[in-house]
Parts: sequence; C-alpha cells; structure tokens
Amino acid sequence: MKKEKKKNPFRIGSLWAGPSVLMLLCLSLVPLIMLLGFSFMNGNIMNGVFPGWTLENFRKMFSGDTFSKLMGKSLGIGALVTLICIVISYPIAWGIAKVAKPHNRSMFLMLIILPFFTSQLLLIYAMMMILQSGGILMTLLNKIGIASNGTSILYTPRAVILVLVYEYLPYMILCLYTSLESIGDNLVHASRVLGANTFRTFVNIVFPMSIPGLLSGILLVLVPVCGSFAESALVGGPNGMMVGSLINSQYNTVLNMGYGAALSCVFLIILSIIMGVIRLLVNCAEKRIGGDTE
Amino acid sequence: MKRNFVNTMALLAGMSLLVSGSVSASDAEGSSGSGETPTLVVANWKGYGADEEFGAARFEELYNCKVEFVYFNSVEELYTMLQTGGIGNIDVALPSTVYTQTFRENGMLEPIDTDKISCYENLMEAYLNLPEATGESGEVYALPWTWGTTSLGYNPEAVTGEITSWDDLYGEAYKGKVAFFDDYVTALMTSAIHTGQNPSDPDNLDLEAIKNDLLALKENVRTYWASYDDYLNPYTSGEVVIGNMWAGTATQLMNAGTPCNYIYPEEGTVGYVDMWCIIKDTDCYDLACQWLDFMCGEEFQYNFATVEGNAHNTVNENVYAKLTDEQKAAVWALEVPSKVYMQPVLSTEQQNEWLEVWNEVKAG
Repeated sequence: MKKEKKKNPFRIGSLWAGPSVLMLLCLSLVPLIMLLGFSFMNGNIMNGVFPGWTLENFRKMFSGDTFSKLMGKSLGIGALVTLICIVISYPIAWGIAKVAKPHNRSMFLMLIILPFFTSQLLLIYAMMMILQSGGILMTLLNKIGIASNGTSILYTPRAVILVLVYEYLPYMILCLYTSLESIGDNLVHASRVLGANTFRTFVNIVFPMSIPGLLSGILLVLVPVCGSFAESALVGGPNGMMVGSLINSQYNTVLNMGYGAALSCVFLIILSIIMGVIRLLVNCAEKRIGGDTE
Repeated sequence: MKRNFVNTMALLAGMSLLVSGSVSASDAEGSSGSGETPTLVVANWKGYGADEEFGAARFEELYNCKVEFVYFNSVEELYTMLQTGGIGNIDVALPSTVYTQTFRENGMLEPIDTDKISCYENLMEAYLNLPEATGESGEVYALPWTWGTTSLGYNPEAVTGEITSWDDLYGEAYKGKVAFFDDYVTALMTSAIHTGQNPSDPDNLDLEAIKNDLLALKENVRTYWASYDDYLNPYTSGEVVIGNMWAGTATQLMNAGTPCNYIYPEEGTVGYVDMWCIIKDTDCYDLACQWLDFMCGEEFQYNFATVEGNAHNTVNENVYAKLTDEQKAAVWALEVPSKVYMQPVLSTEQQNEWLEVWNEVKAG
C-alpha cells in the first residue's frame, strides 16, 4: 500500500514574516500590555521605584466630569472633522481617479501629499498666519464685508476644526482615491445606460465599492484627531482643550504616568468600540444599498 | 530543495544585517563621546543666554573644549528627555526651581562641589540654598543663574488708564483681549494672589475659590500661552493687549517693535529662579563644575545682564553693583517688586490637586 506523503504545513518562506511579526509584537502589542499594567500603578513609574498597585486612577477618572466632558468634546470634534474630510474628499478623489487625464494624476497626487513634506508644527503655524487678525483669510472676509476689522477666528474651536481638516484631508483623499480608482468605468457607464442618475449611481455603485477606502480613511482621520492636542493648544484658545491635552498633562507636567495610562486605556477602548460600530453601520449600509462588488 | 536553501540563506543574511545594524548603531552612540577635545552637553532653552557668543563660544575658548546644546521647549520636555536616555548623555541642564526639586527627588542630579565654584560666595543670598536645590544633609544640587517674574504686561497704546492690579485683567474693559500663562503653578499662584491668599503656603489655600476666580478670568482670556512665540503672534497682531508674562518676554516684545509696559501689581507677583544643575552619571564632572562657575561668574553674568535686546536679571552681587539704572530698568529691575512669591515646594498630592483644578478650569 502506498503511504501518503504527509505534507509539511510549515513553509520556510513563512519565516520571512518573522521580523515583521517580531516588530509588531514589540512595538504594538507589548506597549499596549504595558500601558494596561501601568494604568493600575500609582503615580510616577519611571523613577526606578515600584509605585504600587491601585484602582485609584479609574476611581478619579469617573468621579469627576473633566474626562467625560473632554472625551465628549474630542469625539464631537473628531466626528465633525471626519465628516468634513469625507464630504470634501469624495469629489477630489473621484476627480483625480476618473476625470483627470492619466498622465496628470501623479501631479495631482503630489499636490495632495505636499503638506507631508514639512513638519506638523510648521503647518499649524502657517495656518495661524492665515487665520489671525490681519491675516489673508480675515483680510479677505473683511473686504467682502463678512468680518469686521480686527477680528479673527484664531483661538476658537472653529480654528481647531479648520486646522485639523487641513492636516488630515490628504489621508482621506488618498484612501478614497485608492478605492475609487479600482471601480471599473464600465460599471458606471452601465449604470447611466440603465437610467440611473448621478445620485443613484453614487449610492448603488460608487459608495459600496469605496467602502474599504472610506473605512481606512475614517480610521486614519478620526483616531488621531480625537487624540490630538497640539492644535487645540496653539489655536484653540481658552475653550480648545481636548482629551489629548489632559493625558499629556499627566505624563509631562506632574509625571502621574499611572493616571495618564488609565486615561489612555479608557480612551483606546472607547475609540475601538466606536470604530467597531462605524464598521458595522457601514457594512449594514452596504448590504442595504445593494449593488455588486467586484 | 535548492530554492529552499537559497531562501533560507537569504533570510539568515537579512536577519544578521538587522542585528549587526542595531549593534553598530549602539556602538556609534557609545563612541560619539570619545575624542581628544572634551565635550560638554548642555540642555537649555534656545536663545537663552548660554548659546550667545559670550556664553558657549567664550567657554570653549577658555577651557579648550566643545559645547553641544540640546534644546527643550518646556521643562516637562527636559524631564522626558532626561528619562529617555538623557542621563549619561547630558551633562548640565537648566530647570526652574520646581523641577529642580523633582529632579533631585528622583535621583537625577549630582551634588555640586561648591569648592570648585569660585563665584559661589558672590551669589545673592536670597537665591542660595533654596529648599528645592538642597539635599537632606545640606548638599547643594543646583546653582541659581537668573531670577525673573511672571508679572503683568500690557500694550500702553491699546490700554487706557493706569494698570496697577491683577483686577485689571477681569471685568469688561479687556474682555477677549487677555493672554494668560498656561502653567498650572503660575496660574493658581496668580489667582491666589488676586484672591488675597498666600500662594507660598500651599497647605492653606482655598482651591475652590481659586478655581472660581480662574473661571471668571477665563471669560476674558483670548489665549493661554506657553512660550514666547505663543505671546508674540497675538500681541503684535493686536488680538491680546494685556496679560501675565515673563519679564524677558516684555523685553523681547519691546525690541520686536511693539510697545510693552511691565509692572508689578500692588497685590504681589510670582517669581522664579532658573538653576544650573549637573546631571547624574556625567563623565565630565569637573568640566560641568567649570561651566556652572562660568555661567554664574562675573564675566558671563555682566554680559547676560546688559546684552542688547535680551538682557536678564543677574544673581551675582558684584555684577548687580556695577549695573547702571538704565541697565536695571531694561530688565525691569530698577524697582524691585515689594511682594514676590516664589514657586512653593509642592508635594506630589498637591501637584496633582493643583493640576486637576487647572484642568477643570480649562475644560469648563
């Protein structure tokens, strides 16, 4: 009787993934586990002395309303910035993917990623020059009679939203572009031939097929915007504080890393739940709308 | 089989490159300090005296060494810098009094051998042996370098009437035109002064009254500032016309062409002392002592107190005696404020309590 050769499931080529897996473990999973552990520690955990275990960090977080207030505000700003980025990005990404000539697409993409060539802080200061009293924007608004002389939107929550949209718009555009580019022209053409208008074509064809890019874009925009603090500190004025500033102050001002870690963990859990809900809603929308995906 | 062998060898070669790369990186880091000319690594604010021509360049000339600067934008950043590899690589640093205490309590400083500091006896008595800089057995961990205040500054062209009190920040006159320092210690101390309390006695402060006072002030605040640039931009564009500021900021605003007047309110003002300290595990302790001696000595202190556009207060008695009235006025030191409250030594619990109050104000 012929014995069947057992196939060795282990392929030597899979070892190529080893360094990446090791990096993922060391730079993602291990720090997360450490963060969780630190959140149950008391105070300064970097001075070489074990500070002791405690539940005080979580008690303190939920006994006052500072964290919940700031968390709500940060989520609100994150949602608004993400929504604005989505609304602006769809037509731009479609234009680059489908309207622009193929040999011009690289140039448009280069313009989109140009802000990445400089530091985030320089971008913020550049926006401050535009938004401040006497800056380009306010001078223009003054000339057309919308704003009075000497006013500005700098140091207000509106300035924070504008700066965040400016910083994170390229991420959304690039993510949507990747998905929209893969939509076959024949599908859109068929939709038109069968009598669907632009709106129906978008809802039934374009939107379902752009969902992977949309979800990636939401992840790349919503999460960092909710956790940002540099923008709110520089342009947000007295009412600009976000939850990221609260976490930063624990680590850098009073060295209460235990409390900072607790805030970070709860922030991470809340955002993870929200991302899960968004994914669920978008998938439901995709199924409900229908349409075929390639 | 041949393909598997090639794949395996390629994988092993790649991993060995990765390992040897990280080893050589750490080797390079370890060898950067060697060489014939000793190198002193100094952590300081950029443009804050030590990196002037009469500072580091002169020191290099005198002691035949090299000075490398590491800059920070906040003392919190300095702390993080030291904790994440700075100890053993940075030799001297310039924290303020509050963080000197933190560094000392966390074992991040070397005690200073005052026998190696020739100018020690000439330093102003008021700034020597501060509790933040002194160990339990009387060891000296930091030397004063300059003192300053965070007092009331305003644009005399935009502000009408005489400004004499912290009260002038409140009320309707300058609603939306006030800049306030985004530092929890200074904020609570200023508010304590305004509410008639003693901010240098943190054990007996009414924090609820301070919180309500800061919330009332917040109605008038246009921006909370954390650095000179944060103040310069809105001040020169006219978005803020009054607020608390460092004396050095007032001097720099004047030299930037925007008029600025700096006063010490009748209720009192907040003071600070910046201090040089030697970081633990430095490998050039003697050179570090020479740096401290030079920074606090007459030659540097005189230049520091008289340099055009960026002068600061001196802590050296001999230098202060040489200054003219005009030179003292340039650093707002012609009239010494009658009531200066230095930042107190706060326990860890008090630091957390104070920060919580400040965060509640900013989040409210």
